[in-house]
Amino acid sequence: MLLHMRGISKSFYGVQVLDNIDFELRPGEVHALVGENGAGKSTLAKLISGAHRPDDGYLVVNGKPVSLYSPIESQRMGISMIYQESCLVPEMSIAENVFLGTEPRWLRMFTNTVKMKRETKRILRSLGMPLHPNTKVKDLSMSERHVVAIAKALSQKANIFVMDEPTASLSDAERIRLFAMIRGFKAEGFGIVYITHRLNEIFEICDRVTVLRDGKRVVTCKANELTERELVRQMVGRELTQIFPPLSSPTGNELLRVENMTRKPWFEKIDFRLHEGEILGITGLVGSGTEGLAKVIFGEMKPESGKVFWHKEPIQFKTPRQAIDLGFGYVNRDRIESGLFMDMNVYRNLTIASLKKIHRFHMVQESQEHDKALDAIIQLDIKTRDPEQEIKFLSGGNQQKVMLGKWLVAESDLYILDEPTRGIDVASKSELYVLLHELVNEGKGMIVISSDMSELIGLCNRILVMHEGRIVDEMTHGEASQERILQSASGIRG
Amino acid sequence: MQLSNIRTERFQRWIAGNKIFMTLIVLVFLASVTSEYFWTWNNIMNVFRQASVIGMIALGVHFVVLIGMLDLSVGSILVFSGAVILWGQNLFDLDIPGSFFLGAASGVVLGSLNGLIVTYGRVPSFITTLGTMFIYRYFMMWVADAGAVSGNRISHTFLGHGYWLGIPVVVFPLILAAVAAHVVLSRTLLGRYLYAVGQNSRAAFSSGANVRAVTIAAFAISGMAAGLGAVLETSRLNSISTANSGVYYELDAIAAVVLGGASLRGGKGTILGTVSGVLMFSILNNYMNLQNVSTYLQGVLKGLLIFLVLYRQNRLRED
Repeated sequence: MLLHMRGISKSFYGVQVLDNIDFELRPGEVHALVGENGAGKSTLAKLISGAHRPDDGYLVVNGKPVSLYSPIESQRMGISMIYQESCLVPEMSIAENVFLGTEPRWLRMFTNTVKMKRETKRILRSLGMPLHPNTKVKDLSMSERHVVAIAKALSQKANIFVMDEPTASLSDAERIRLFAMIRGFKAEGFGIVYITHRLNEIFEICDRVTVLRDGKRVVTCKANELTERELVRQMVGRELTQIFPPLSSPTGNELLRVENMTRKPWFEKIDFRLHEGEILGITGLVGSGTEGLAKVIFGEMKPESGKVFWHKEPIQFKTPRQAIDLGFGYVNRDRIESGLFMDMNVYRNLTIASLKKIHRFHMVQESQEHDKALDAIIQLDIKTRDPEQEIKFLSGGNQQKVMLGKWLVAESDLYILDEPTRGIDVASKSELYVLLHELVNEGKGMIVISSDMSELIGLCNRILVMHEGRIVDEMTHGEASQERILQSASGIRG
Repeated sequence: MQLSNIRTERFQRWIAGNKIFMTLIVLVFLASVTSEYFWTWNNIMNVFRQASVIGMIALGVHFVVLIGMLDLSVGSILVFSGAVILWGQNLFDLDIPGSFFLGAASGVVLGSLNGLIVTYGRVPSFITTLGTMFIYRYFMMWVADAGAVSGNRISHTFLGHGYWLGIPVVVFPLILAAVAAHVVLSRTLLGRYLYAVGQNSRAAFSSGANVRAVTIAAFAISGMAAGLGAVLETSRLNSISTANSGVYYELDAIAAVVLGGASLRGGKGTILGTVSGVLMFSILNNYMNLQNVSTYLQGVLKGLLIFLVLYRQNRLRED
């Protein structure tokens, strides 16, 4: 047994993330770890790599119980983590990256570059990728970087690999090469923990599957004993927990039409329509292009080709300013990076997108500003001691409400909401859903991008599913189910 | 929550946001107690007079620092505009209003050039203005053969040496500019967008701010302030030395802005803070002159003051 975990529990700030998990990895095995977002996959991987310490339970690696939980210690015991975004230094050569931190020495002071290069060359050849060790990592393709990360793991004499979504940024050909490499490792008796959202890969490469749901292990079994449908049911397996307001039957005139829009590498050939009073859901796995689509519609990025029609008039945006002037509003998925002004007060955050409506001779009319902002504060029930307080003192959920409030103040007609309920508790979510329904009942249009499937099913009139940059499925409210969305999103269906 | 509580809270926040102003008041008090000459009308007016040129420049640099950038070219713009002003006086017989116009106009042109290079050339502001710092000054030195440019209108020196209502005339433009800068930053759309771009330029872009225009405006204002500073500088001696005038002014201005509580990462800082920073340096120089401290040691103490104040500010910010 390479790796043996027994009764592992872990909680963060009182939230139980992992609950009494058992997990084992045999030599020559690829063991898949699957589950919804937030099921605890990444936390388990971090426990294996020593980044977290379990509250309860124990780990045995290569026959030795783990007592010290640190990344260096787990590396020493033969565990290697290969992340999505591999942690390589772009400005360094392949050889320097492979031996970073474990450079062979010469008189204990100088790095033995000759040995470094020779060893690197040997490892790379054994992986079937004869790259020159002097090549800088920044000049490599995504899959070549993967190989370098694997070579780094091999140079550290690892025999347990943890791979987190290794194929997320790979093309088909590159994926096939990675799988050939993984099969080679199996033959040599190495063990691989394989975390993925793409269910078809599990049947292609994995021997056993462990399904996590809400921090608990649901099942561990041989991969070929399960069908895709069963696997999905095991992963989802829970009732809707939020209460959604009843859907109004839409839908008025056409509001927005997107025709044949392409922006590589995010998405290509996108077609859809949005009507007045309609909530359109768009979903997809990480890297399926949903975020890029929102940015292009809002004018933050330019499409390579394709047309957009607003009230049947063709439109083309160079900047978000033009989109805002037409009545578009976009709630970004990342409120700290590109959503809020943390050192500004609540009033000013709410009105920043509608300053053009509340000025006279370029002087901001503060009484008007406060009136409009207060309306939004009351409507959204934003909890703040004082609207002149800086927004960094508000809770995450209230900050999220301010992001939406910005577009209420701007009186937008089209709302593009990217992960609008991220970081909001269940009660505020339900309030927000009611508010979104009120908005569309006034004849406004709404595009909701979310990875929370139950939210989309409860909220949307129609749902589009994207996979690798294309729309692969479209379903109405009545047709939608978590199984169907997950199957389409992972590319099994259609 | 009671309204009066909110008022108290807002007042406390105002005090917390203007610590440098409070420090200035403490400094003035200490200086007045320990030196009998300090708190006299003439001496206080001297403090203001000494602060006028750097103060004017610092007001402009404040706009650039606010969007998280730097302007190192203001000392050179001062020389360039100063020469333009004096030639203008000699050639067209311009009076004081004409000089102000010429100074502001030439400053805006040079500053906008900085802004255009930063936005459309995508060159970092530090490098852009480092380059133009050399270009503007050495171009003028080449034209004037590295010598001084002198004016021949005596009335111009009224600005630098005259008094009105017992106050040095040179102080009035500074006060006007400070009030104008404060109004622009706190009341206008441009002011809002400047803070927005400084705090989070991506969010500002997706909230509809024209980030490029705002950036160019900030550099243009910085250049204009340097040009206005040139009017004050030339009015003292009615001449400007292309080789020796305005040296280190950009660094003095940045020091004053930073001392005034602005963050070099952008998005933070008030005009009251920057004015306080300028006055603090001026008071320090003045006080130490009164106490017969060597000029060279004064420079050392100036550096220590920056450390002291910023160390305290950062400590308080973390709490």
